[in-house]
Amino acid sequence: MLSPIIIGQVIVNGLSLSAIYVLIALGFTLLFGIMRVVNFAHGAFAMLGGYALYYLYGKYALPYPLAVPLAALIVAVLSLVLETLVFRWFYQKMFQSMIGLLGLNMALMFSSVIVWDVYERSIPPAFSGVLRLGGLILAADRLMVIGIAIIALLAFWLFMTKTRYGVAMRATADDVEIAEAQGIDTRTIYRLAFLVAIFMTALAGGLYAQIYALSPFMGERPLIVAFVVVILGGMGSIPGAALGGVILGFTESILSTFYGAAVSSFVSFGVVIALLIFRPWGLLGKPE
Amino acid sequence: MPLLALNNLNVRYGQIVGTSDLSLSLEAGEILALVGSNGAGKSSTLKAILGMAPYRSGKILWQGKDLKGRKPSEIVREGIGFSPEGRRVFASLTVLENLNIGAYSRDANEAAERIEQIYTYFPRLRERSGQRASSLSGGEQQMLAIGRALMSRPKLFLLDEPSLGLAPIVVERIGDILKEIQAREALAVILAEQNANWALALADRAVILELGQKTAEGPSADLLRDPKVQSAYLGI
Ligand SMILES: Nc1ncnc2c1ncn2[C@@H]1O[C@H](COP(=O)(O)OP(=O)(O)OP(=O)(O)O)[C@@H](O)[C@H]1O
Ligand SMILES: [Mg+2]
Repeated sequence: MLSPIIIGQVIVNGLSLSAIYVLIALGFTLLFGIMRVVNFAHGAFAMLGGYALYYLYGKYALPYPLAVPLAALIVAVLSLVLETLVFRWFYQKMFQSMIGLLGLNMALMFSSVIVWDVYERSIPPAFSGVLRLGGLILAADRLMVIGIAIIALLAFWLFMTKTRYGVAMRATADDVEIAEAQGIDTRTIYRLAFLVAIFMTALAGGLYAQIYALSPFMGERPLIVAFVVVILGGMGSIPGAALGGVILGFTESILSTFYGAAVSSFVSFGVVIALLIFRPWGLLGKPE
Repeated sequence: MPLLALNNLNVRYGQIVGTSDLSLSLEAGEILALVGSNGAGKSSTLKAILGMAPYRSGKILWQGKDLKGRKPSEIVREGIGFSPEGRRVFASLTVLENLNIGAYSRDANEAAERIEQIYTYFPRLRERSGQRASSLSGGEQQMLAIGRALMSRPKLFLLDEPSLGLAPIVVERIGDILKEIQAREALAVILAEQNANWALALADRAVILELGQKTAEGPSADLLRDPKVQSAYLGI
C-alpha cells in the first residue's frame, strides 16, 4: 500500500492543501485579529480570486507567474470599495460583523451567478507532468502551488516584521487606541490590513479554483476551511493560522488518500469540535 | 502666546462629567502637575488635548491653533507626546519595535539616532531591546512608555500616572530621569498624578482637580505650603 507513488502523492497533496489553507486562514485571522470582524464573506473573495485568475490566465493567457499575483491584486484593490461601503462599519463589532458579512457573502455570490451563471469552469493547469525525486513521483502543478504559497508567506513575514507598516499593523492589533495616540493613522492601517488579507485570500482562491473547479459557489469550502483552521490555531493568532493550516492540510491529504473524502471531513470536524470543548482558545491562541 | 491653553473645557461622556469649565495654560519648557484623586478628571484632560476624549464646549489652543476635530495621530504630529495611564506598551512587540512606533510620525532615519538618546536616558531599555514588552517589569514598562512617547521629539509631553503601582525607589528614579530629560530638551510636561508629594516636587506649577473642576492653582512651592492642600493631598 505504501508505494513511493502514494507517499509522494500524500506529501505533495498535503503540502499544497496546507499552503492554500494557510493563505486563506491568514487573511481571515488578520481581519479578525486587527479589526475584530468575522468575515463570513471570506469564501466569496476566494471565489473572486478564482474568476480573476480564470480571465487573466485561462482567457487572456498572461504568463502564469504574472497572472497569479496580478489576479489577487486586482481583487484586493477593487475590494477596497467594499471596505469603504461595508466592512469599516463593522470594525470592532464582532457580532454585527457576522450578520452583515453573511449578507455580503450572499450578495457577492448571487451577483456572480448573474454575471457568470452557475456552471463550473476550469482553469487550465500551469504545468502537466511529474517530477521524479528519488523513488517519489511528484505532480508538477502541485509543486508550483507550494512554491507560490511559500513566496507569499515569506513576503508576508518580511512585511510584518521588517517594514514600518507591518510593525504598525501589529501595534494596531495590540491596542488600536494607543497606536493612534502614538501617531499611527489607524484608518490607513486598517485599509492596508484589509488589502493584505484579501490579497492572500484571493491568491489562495485562484490556486484552489485551479486545482478543483470554479463556480460562484466554490467559496463555501474555503470559508469552512478558514473557520476550522483559525479555530484550530486560535482566533487572531498568525502562527496559529500557519499551524492550523498545515494540520488540516495533512490530515485531509492522509485520510482522503487511504479512507476517502467522507472520512477525512468527518475526522477533521470531529477534531475541531473536540478542540472547542477542551481547548476553546485553540492550539496557539490565548484564553480570553 | 502660551504653548497650550485650555479655555473652559467641558469633557463629557454622555451625561458623565470628565472636566467642567477647566481652564489652564502652559508655557514652553514648563512642568505642570495635574493633581487629584480617582475620577478627578486628570486623564480626561490629557485625552481631550490629544483628541481622544470628546468635549462638549470649550477650546484647546495649541500655539494659538484650535485642535478641535483633529485625530490623535494628527495631533501627535503637531509635537505632542503621550504616555497613557497603565503604560499600555504594545505587548507583543519588542522594546525596539515599541520605540520605533513612537517615531512613526517622523522620518525613518531620524529614529535610529533618537533611539540612542532614549537608551542613554534609560540604559535598561537598551539591555532589553530585543525582548517582548510583555516580559518587562512594571518599572521597565513605564520607562518604555515614556521612551516611546519621546521618540517623536515632542514639544509637550503628556504623562499620565507614571507612579501607578511602582515601588517608591523606582518612582524616584523615574522622577530623576524626567528632570534630566526635561532640562536637556526644554520639554513642556503635563504630569497627571495622584501621588501629589512626588508630582509637586517635580513640577514648577500645579493645578488641583476635584470632580472635574479646578480647586487650586499655583507654583508648586506655594501649594506645598497650603494647609488645605497639605491635609487633602499630602497626608500632613
Ligand atoms: N470612557 C469613559 N466613559 C465614561 N466615563 C468616563 C470615561 N473615562 C472617564 N470617565 C469618567 O470621567 C470621570 C473622570 O475620569 P478620569 O479618568 O479623567 O479621572 P482621573 O483623574 O484620571 O482618575 P484616576 O486617578 O482614577 O485615573 C470619572 O467619573 C470617570 O468615571
Ligand atoms: Mg486617570
